[in-house]
Parts: sequence; structure tokens; C-alpha cells
Amino acid sequence: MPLTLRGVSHRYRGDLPWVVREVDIEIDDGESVALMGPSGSGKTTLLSILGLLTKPAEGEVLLDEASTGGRAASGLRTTQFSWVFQTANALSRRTALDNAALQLLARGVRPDLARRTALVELDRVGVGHLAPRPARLLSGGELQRVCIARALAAAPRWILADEPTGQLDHATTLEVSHALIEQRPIGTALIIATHDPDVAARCERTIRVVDGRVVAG
Amino acid sequence: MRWRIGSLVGEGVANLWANGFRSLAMLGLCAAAFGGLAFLELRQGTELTQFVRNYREGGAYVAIASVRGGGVSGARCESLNGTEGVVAAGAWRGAGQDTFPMAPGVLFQAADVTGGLLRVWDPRHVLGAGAGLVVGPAMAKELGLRPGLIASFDDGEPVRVSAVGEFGRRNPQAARWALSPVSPAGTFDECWVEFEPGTYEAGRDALAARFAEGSAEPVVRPYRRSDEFTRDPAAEWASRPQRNGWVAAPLVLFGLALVAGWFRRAEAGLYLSMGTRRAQLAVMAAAEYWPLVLAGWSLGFSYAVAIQSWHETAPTGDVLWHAAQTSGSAALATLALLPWSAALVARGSIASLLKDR
Repeated sequence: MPLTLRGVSHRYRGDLPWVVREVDIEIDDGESVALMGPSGSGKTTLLSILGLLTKPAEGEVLLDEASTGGRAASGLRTTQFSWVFQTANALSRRTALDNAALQLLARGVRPDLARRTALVELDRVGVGHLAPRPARLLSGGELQRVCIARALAAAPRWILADEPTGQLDHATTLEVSHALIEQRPIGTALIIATHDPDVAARCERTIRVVDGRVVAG
Repeated sequence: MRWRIGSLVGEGVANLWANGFRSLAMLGLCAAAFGGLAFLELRQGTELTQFVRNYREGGAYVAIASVRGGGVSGARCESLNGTEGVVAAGAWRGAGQDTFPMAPGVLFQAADVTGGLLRVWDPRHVLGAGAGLVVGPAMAKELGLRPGLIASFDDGEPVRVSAVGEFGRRNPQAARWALSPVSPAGTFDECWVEFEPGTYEAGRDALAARFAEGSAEPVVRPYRRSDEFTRDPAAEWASRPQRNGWVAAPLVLFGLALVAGWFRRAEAGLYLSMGTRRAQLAVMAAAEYWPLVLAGWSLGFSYAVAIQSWHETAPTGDVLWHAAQTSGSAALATLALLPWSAALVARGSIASLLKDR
């Protein structure tokens, strides 16, 4: 399987309880997977381990059967993964277009080409007209769509989304989840941590997490 | 596939412009730090330079040789001119009191001097050592004398006044003297010698031997006596508190950059989540900070020079160079340090950085 967690457990410090315990997950290319579970169940930690932001205390993360440890992680984060965070992490004083082009620039794409591509993606998720506006002046839904455009523009192999609709109203949730689930490039896998059953229902597979353990999926 | 250097620089510059207030604050801090450092250097340097100049003009390196019960050889005294470490040397002897017919009853002191003495007593002017009378300023004022006029003593031939000396700094009592330049042959009351600062003590100590002859006992005394209260400009300059400012200022600015970076950890986390390396964050930060540091140094240094020149005395080239060196070293150290603040605050878990806002 392309992305595999094998015997992964994690805790943030030696004296703290385990937040993820003995998890084995396999996710295929192009698949859409919802991670569901109550608050504090370990979804975000699991997601950050899958996206190589956090190194697990035990077990390993394999990509195409190869280890992702050490210095390889940084390169893989650039080329393989894109993130959409719950709180719409963005450079607040930079424009929507600057934010949308960011991951392409990190991949070494020429700035002019990165901006053209980012503008296409902003249009595709419905916020193209906001391109010159500073991110801090956008609403939560608009900003989240800018972050989705940033993730989609890079055409990554994996998109990881951590409760991207958690702070949005129902109508905006529908727009954002549509942009993320249905508008992602063909072949791009989506792993989305969510509390929303409607969002999970639109994914191909749901993994349920309780107390750091995978109980279903 | 990685960030292009041009894109990293562009990103840093874009962050610089996008955060106007933060950038202006950093620019102001840099200008204040480098300008303050430069101003301290300029102020102390200028003050010491003026002190040294006044100290020297006040006769700090002048020694006077005389011989008890006899006189000093004028020729030996004059022969000191041109030797290494001697600025000027000359002798004088009193010629008694006299009056001018145009001002009967006004007594003045007449003296014979060798040419070198005029250079010792009035270092700011080159007074003619040829024929003619050199008078002190008080006497010139009282009798209305000026160069070119003819004056005659009560009991002598008329002579032309060749110059009015400014003896106030070296020999104030000569303000009412009339000095007649004469040949150095014969003996004189005193020999005055001005040394270079570096050769003063050795030269003064060797002066007595120069005039020792037979049973005569030469006496050498300094024109200005120094004591424990006498300032030592070289020691003051070497122990000036701001001499280590080139280390302190960058460290303070680095600390402030760390604080600023602490509030930008989420931003750093975002870049890291895209695979940006911490060294690349440092390059980005360099592009953001370097223009501010360079502009801050230029502004601060120019401002310090302007304030110093406006309120006090314009600094000399040496003092300017010292101030530029100290504040410039601080700016260079800041250039080297600041970019690493971004990499330093971006340590630890990327997931944790992303949560900080």
C-alpha cells in the first residue's frame, strides 16, 4: 500500500499518556478517507503522523514500502503532501493569491507560473475575485477555500485536512467540503479528520478512532 | 524540488512589505541601536579630541630649562629645532623695563628672543623671526600697535612692529612684552622646548644634560605640572563603555527578533509543513531583515553625525571613522545573527508550531 502506518503509537512526552496506540492503517492512492472520532480521540495526532509533521514515538510510517524517517521527511512534505488545517493557517498579511501560490513556490515552481496556477485554483474554488485581498480581511469560509486552493494547486499525492469545516456554518461547510472532496485532482488521496457525518459520508472510507485506537475501518 | 533562492528572497521581501508596522518598528530599533552607538563614539571621541588639542595648546608637552646662577646657551637651545620629537625650541632673556615716547609712564617688559621661542609661545601663528618687534596683544591694544607700524624706544632706534603675538595659552604674562628677535649666540634666561606627546617625558629628562656645563646646575621643569587629577585621554578612550557595543547591540536586536519570531511560530510552522527547511527559513529571514539592518545603520549613523555636528562640534575624520567602525561592526554582527532567530524559534514539533497563534 502507498501510505502505511505500522504499529504506530505516540505520546508527546514520556510522562504523558499515549494519544495514539498501536495503529495500523493503509491508504491507497486516490482514495478519500474520513477519520472520525470524538474530541481528544487522537485524530489530529494521527493525521500529523500520516503527513510526516510528527514523528511517532513507536512504529513507522511507510510510503511505497519505504521508510519516511530522517531527512527524507522534509522533502516528502514538499513533494507528496498538502495540508488544510482547521484554523485555516495562512500568512494573514499577505494576499490570498500569495497564500495560494505558497506550496508551488516551496516546490521550486517559477513565481510567475506559481501565481498563474494559484489564480486558476482560486477561481475553481470560487474565490478568484478575492486574489488581491489580504488574508486577514477574508471571512473564515473564504480563507478556508484559499487554503484548499493552496493545497489543490500543488496537485499533491496526498491532501490531509484537519477538521477543515469545524468552524464554518452549514452552507459554507457544503461549499468547502465540495471543493475539497469532489474537486481534488484525480489520483490525489484525501485524508480528512472530521466530526461531521455528512462530510464523512461523502468519503469512500471512514476510519473510526477512539482513545487513540482504530476501532473500525 | 525545492524553493528557488530567488523565491525565498522574494518571500522574505514580500513579508517585509506586508508587515509594515513590524518592519518600521525593526527599522527604528536598528536605527536607534546603531545610531546610539555611533553617537556615543562621536561624542566621546570629539570631546577627547578637543581636550587633547586644548591640552597640547595649553603647553602640556612644553619643558623649560634654566641654569641656576647662569644662563642657558641659546645656540644649544635653538639647535634642538629639527631634531626628532621636538616641535619647536627657543630661548629668551629679559632686557629690562622701558617706555615708549608716545606713552610716557607706561612700563613694559623688553626681552630678547630667539626665533624658535616665538613658535613655542604662539603655536597657532608663524611669527616672523627676522628684524622687527613682536609685541604682546595687551600691549598692542594699549599702544595702538599693529604690524607694519614703526615704534621707537625711549633710548633706542625706531623699529618696525613685525607681528602681534597671541601668547595667552603658553605665556600669558608676555601679553605686555615687547620681544626683539635676536641671534641665538650668547646665554639666555630660559630655553623653552615643545615636544611631540610621545617623546615628551624622555625628551624632558634628557634636557638637563644638554645644558650641563662645568659646575652649572641646569633645572628642567614642565610648563604644566600633571597630578593624579590630570586626565589621560588614551586610557579614557581605551576604557570607554561603548567599546563593546558592537557585541551588545546585535545581541539585544537578536533578542528582540526572537521575541518577534515567537509570535510568528504559526507562520514558521506553515512554511515547515510544506517541507521548507529551517536553513531556508533563515534565508527568508535574511531577505526580510537585511534591508532593515542596512537602512537602520545608514539612518542611525547619519542622524548621529547630524546631531553631533548640530549641537556640539563637527567630528574629525578620525572620530568619524571610529564611530563608523564600531557601529558598522555592530551592523555586520546583526546581519549575521538575525536570520538565525527565525530558524531558532521554529525548533520543535511542526504540529505544535501550527497551533501557536
